[in-house]
Amino acid sequence: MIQFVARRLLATVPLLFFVSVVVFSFVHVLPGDPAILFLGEEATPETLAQFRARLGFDRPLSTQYLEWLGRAVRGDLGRSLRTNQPVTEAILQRLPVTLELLGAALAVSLAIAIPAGIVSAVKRNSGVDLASTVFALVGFSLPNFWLGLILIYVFALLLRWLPPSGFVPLPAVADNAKSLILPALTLGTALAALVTRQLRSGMLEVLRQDYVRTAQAKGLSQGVVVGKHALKNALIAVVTVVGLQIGGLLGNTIITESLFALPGVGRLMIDAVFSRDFFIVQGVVLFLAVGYVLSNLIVDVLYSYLDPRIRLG
Amino acid sequence: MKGWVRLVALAVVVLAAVPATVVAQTRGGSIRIGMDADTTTMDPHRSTAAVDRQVYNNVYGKLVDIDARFGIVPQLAQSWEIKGGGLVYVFKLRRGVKFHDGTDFTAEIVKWNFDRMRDPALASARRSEIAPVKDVKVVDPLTVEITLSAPFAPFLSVLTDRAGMMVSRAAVEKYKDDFARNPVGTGPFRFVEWVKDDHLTLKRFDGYWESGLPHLDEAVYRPIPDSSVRFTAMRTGQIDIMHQIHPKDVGTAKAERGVKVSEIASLWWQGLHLNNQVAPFTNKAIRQAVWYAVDRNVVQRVAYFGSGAPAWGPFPPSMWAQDRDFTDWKRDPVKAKAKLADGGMPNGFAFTVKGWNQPIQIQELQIVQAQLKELGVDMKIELLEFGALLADLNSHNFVALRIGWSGRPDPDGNAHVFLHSKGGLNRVRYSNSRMDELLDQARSEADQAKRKVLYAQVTRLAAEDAPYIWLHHDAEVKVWAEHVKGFEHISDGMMRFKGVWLDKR
Repeated sequence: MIQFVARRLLATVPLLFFVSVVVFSFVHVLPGDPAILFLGEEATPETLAQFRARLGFDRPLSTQYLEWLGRAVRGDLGRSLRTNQPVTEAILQRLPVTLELLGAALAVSLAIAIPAGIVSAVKRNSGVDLASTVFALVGFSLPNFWLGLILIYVFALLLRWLPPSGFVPLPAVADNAKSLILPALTLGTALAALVTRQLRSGMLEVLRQDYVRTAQAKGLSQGVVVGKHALKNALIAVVTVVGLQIGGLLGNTIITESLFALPGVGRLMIDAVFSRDFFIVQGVVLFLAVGYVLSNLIVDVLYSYLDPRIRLG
Repeated sequence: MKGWVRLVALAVVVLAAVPATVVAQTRGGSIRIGMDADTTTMDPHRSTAAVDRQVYNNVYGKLVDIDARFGIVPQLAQSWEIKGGGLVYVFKLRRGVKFHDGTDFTAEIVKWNFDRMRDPALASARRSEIAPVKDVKVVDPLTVEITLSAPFAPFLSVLTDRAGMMVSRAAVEKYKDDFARNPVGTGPFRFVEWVKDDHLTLKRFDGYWESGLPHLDEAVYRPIPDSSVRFTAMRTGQIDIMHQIHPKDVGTAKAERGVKVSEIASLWWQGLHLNNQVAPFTNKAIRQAVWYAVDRNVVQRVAYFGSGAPAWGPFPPSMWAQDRDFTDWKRDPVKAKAKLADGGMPNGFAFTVKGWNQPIQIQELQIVQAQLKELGVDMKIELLEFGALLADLNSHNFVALRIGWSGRPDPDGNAHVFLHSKGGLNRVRYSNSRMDELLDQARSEADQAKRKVLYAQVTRLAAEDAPYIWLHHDAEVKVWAEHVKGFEHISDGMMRFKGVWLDKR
């Protein structure tokens, strides 16, 4: 197991190197000159040139890349062109918000999907099954931002139960939770829909297996058969889906954080893209890539727990 | 009898003046401000984003400010004198002004601030704004003399914005590049904390030079980028005052209880840039055809939900320079057809316009597209992200391009840069020596009445040459909760909080 994790971690090194090359070149081929965005439309050509020279943007891309890489491996991702804040500091400051949001969205989606998936499989073709199918279809089809706006309209404006925007950090637990409910629902609904469908079909397949019939024949209660024997095997497909969707979820945090005005990593990134704050963009993308690789690793490890037949290595 | 009349008149004047002073202003409290975007830097000499100026107006003192009628009023400069035919400005500075870090504000500091802005190494965005400045001299500790290379009538008005904001030399020397996150000025509020994309907090500066001000203890800026969400935050009491409301929400805001809406003319103009050096817009008649083909009233009614005003030149209705007698901008399909024929394209032509991928901008372009279509002109719309659009604009890489200008308090700032052949923002490469003459004359003329005549000629010549198709002047709208008192709404849209108080009884 440890050997497996170590080997997988080692394999990510060339992957991350590749990611860094792609990110760096993409950021620099983006149309839009940071000098103009920073100095304003009225800047003279000489001021623009001075700005580029000050930041080293006038040198060959390969030189710029190697220099950036050299510092990045030592943990220095550069500084924001605008505020001079170190990129690592900016990311770490915002990471708790995004992690909390991701965690809450994941929790919300699983809290919806697991019961819904189980019930609709066990009570196949019932009213509950139909309702969960409709939920899945609608939940998956709704655009994220639109769902968010509707939730804000209903729960913040009409009912006044929850705040429409903003983030209250811990340790104010109650306010923190309140500020994350709507964003978590917005971010988690599509995943909930997907997992519900996945779990339903997984359960249906498992419930038809011989060992389930054997368990039922042994006289085990329906709860034990479904909850212990069937669910654990059906969850393998769910873990795969969730693992694959983490990337999508990360991407969607950009929209969710902007909509609800949460100071997370996604918002840091989108603002940096629009203002061509190169070092921030590069830093965040690299950071997200590492996060994605790690989350896939965790998924792989989870497999072996859920199904000991799957051997790592 | 005469005496009575005088006495009554006096009483009326006094009574009229009373309400403003009698209302008990409550001291204390925190105002929460909903912004459309976060501040980008707290260094006014390096800022290029319009949104930054909102916070600056409360943190930094300026040499002079503007009032609601565009008059220049004293701020850090108590008085000034213009000598040498408009070449020399002598500023008498206010005594006893302190920066938030306790250092003194003096003539020496003013000179140092100008040197900082003019230092090529800083690559300051202010450098081009104060380009006419030739020399800054300290006469005595409270007198500074600024010499220009040529008379420049808008000079004082330039100093009402970031170029006039005085930063603490001690703080800049201490923090260097980190001054962008550790600002120190002389304004009514001092900087406390900035958590990017979440909030920026200011607290009352107890050493502020205007006695008794500010009333508020605290001001907290919260960036909420989505306009619907920002408006919901306003309606649910999460914020007390709101910057930038979408025109579609103005009606709802006016009907909302407990909310005040103020709508005045802004300094903005929106319009199409036609590249005068690229076919078919090298041809004046073709540009004129577009001028007559668009219906600016429809743009205003549909894309802007009736807010703001149609634009037929660079000067908005808020400016004294606007020529209200000029009418040759209404849609006229017959004239447009004739101009197409004059230009040798009686059956129309096709071109591509580049624009910003934002809802209002897109709708505006679609309206223009439909109007041009009726004349056989096929306008294709290419939407870009703002940074990419700016890059194309600056490199003249467009046939037509739709963009706006936030405007400047002096008309020169809305026209010279765009219409003068050497103008810094003349990306359409329009050139007419008569236009250059008019603009230069208007810039060096001190008499406003004479300048007004010159700007009327500018408006008419610009309409005749049609290098730009002006479409709309945005409204400047602010929405605030009823308990916010003493807010003065000025066309530059800046929220100055020194006189604001909260009445939450």
